Amino acid sequence: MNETILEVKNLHVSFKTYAGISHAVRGVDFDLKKGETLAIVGESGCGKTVTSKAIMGLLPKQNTMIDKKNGAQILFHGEDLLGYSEKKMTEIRGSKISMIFQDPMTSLNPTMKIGDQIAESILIHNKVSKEQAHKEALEMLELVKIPNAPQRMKQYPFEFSGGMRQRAMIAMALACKPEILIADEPTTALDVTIQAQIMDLIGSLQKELNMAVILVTHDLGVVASVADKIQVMYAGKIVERGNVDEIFYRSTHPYTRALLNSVPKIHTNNKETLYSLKGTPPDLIHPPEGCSFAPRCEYGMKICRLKYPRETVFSDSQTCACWLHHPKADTKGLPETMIRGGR
Amino acid sequence: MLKFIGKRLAYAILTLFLIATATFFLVAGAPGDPIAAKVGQMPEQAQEIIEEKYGLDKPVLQRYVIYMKNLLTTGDFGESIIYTGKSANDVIKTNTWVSAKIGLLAIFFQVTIGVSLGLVAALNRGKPVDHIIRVLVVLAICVPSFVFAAVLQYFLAFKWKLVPVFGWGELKHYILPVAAYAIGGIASYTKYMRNSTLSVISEDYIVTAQAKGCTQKRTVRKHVLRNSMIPIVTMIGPAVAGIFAGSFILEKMFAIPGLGFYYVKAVSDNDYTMVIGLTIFFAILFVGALIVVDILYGIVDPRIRVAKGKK
Repeated sequence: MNETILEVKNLHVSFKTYAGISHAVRGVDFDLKKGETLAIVGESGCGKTVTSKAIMGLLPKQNTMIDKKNGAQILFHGEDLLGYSEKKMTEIRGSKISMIFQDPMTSLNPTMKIGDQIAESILIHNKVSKEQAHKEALEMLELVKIPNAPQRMKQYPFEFSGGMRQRAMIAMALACKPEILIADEPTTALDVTIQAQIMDLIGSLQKELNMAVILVTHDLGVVASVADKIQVMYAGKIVERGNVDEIFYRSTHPYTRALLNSVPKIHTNNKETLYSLKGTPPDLIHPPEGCSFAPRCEYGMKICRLKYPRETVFSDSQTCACWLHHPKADTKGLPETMIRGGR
Repeated sequence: MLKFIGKRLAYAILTLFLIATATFFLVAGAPGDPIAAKVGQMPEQAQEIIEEKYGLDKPVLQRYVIYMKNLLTTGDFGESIIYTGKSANDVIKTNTWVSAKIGLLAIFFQVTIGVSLGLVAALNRGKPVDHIIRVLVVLAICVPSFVFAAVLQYFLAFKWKLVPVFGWGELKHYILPVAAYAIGGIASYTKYMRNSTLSVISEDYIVTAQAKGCTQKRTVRKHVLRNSMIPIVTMIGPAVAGIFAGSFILEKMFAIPGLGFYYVKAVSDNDYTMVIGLTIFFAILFVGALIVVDILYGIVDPRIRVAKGKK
């Protein structure tokens, strides 16, 4: 459980666009232990998908720049994936690290049988016969609880419902028993009851295969029941990280608070207006000098716009990058739970 | 699938019947007189004898019944009015294969070269190869095939004497007409293939394939190619049918005894039997080609196949 298998260090990713260079990920560090579930949370465009695609080496080569000067590294079992050749990366992809995507309606090849699509990843990474690969693919379909699996093997994606397709995607991603599964918004395109089923499925398979999961989502509701630790991203940086209890009950960053407030609660009054965070994320072509959340922050101070805050450490798991936790900060009017002694 | 093909065949037969009927009455109603065109001035009595021979003295409806009866029982399109003793069936028999050989060869090169060039251009989008291919495509689409034919004749045949200028019978006679015929098609298949490949490679399932660990080669072969071929397949059917009607200019330029040549001549001569016979024959080819494409389409795209099966 405590062996670290993935370490991301100071990851910077930028894209060349017509308008200029967009700095999508600006210094992200985290690590992942065996069997652990890490949730990366944030609103659209905060860099969470880019981070996960960077790990997979799936970013488009023509316009992506991963800055390696500042000691950026993606260490998988101690080896830097950023230094890997394309050939070596294809050996890792799908076998050691797998990924499932947001929209199961478009993520499967429409002209290839489901069984063939699952068997393909087995065939690529293992020296087995076609028959053997299909046998294993069938076992995978049964594992993700698709009824009538033998018939389903011979069907095409358009004959599957959305939830079934996402199950097939999971079967495909897990066919080679990867050590890490990156799930990029796996339930966003599905309706709520199916969402719960898919999350349960991922959770149970994770235990069965003892794999680590990186769950990328904007939905804190999905995260609560499955994640071990959560990191909140904003404008390409991690602003707060902590375990589930810390983020849900003792969050210290105004952005995390805002995210939590915008989740509807079971006791919310019918007539109550749901909280919504005003403003939009900053333009990442010209990222701000200081804290990028400052313009939208209700506690924003002068210093926030000038300099990026250092991380304050609250516990082994919880850190927060916010000026409010600086000893000299004016904390009058802040919610009591937010102010905690840092180390 | 079998049910689907049966249904399509029934529709095809109905279509052909309607085409035959419409052509018959349209040609019968058209102004002009084939016999006058054939012999010019002649005594009234002689004219009556010829009219009787072809049944032109009978009312149109009666002629129609006789024609259809002959066609359905013996498959006979009738004797040409202009060329005495030569039937429309003879012309079809001796000249179809000539047009077909040129046309099918040209289409074969169009599809294979067009699809490959389109794929290469799309996979190298924005690079010099892509730009070169695109410029050539625009050029080739804009210039009509007979201009190419003339240019090819001038350089390859007349100046450099690599191949004969025109003629028919040997392998070397194929080169120029097939090339002239193919160039425009190569360009349009390249264009369509490039566009459809570009839209396929930006699909989510291509990222899925890469995430699975497919190499670029495997991704193209297993996931891109088939999906981007779907729009191409639909274009092939009409192209095959168009071989016969569309190639008469080239057949004339290269003195190839093909079917298109006779068709145009029959229309200008008001040769009733030939026009009707050839039109029905073209219609058979066209409808047949469309059925073949529908079946091919189902093979390439499983969504169509199942939808058809359910019907």
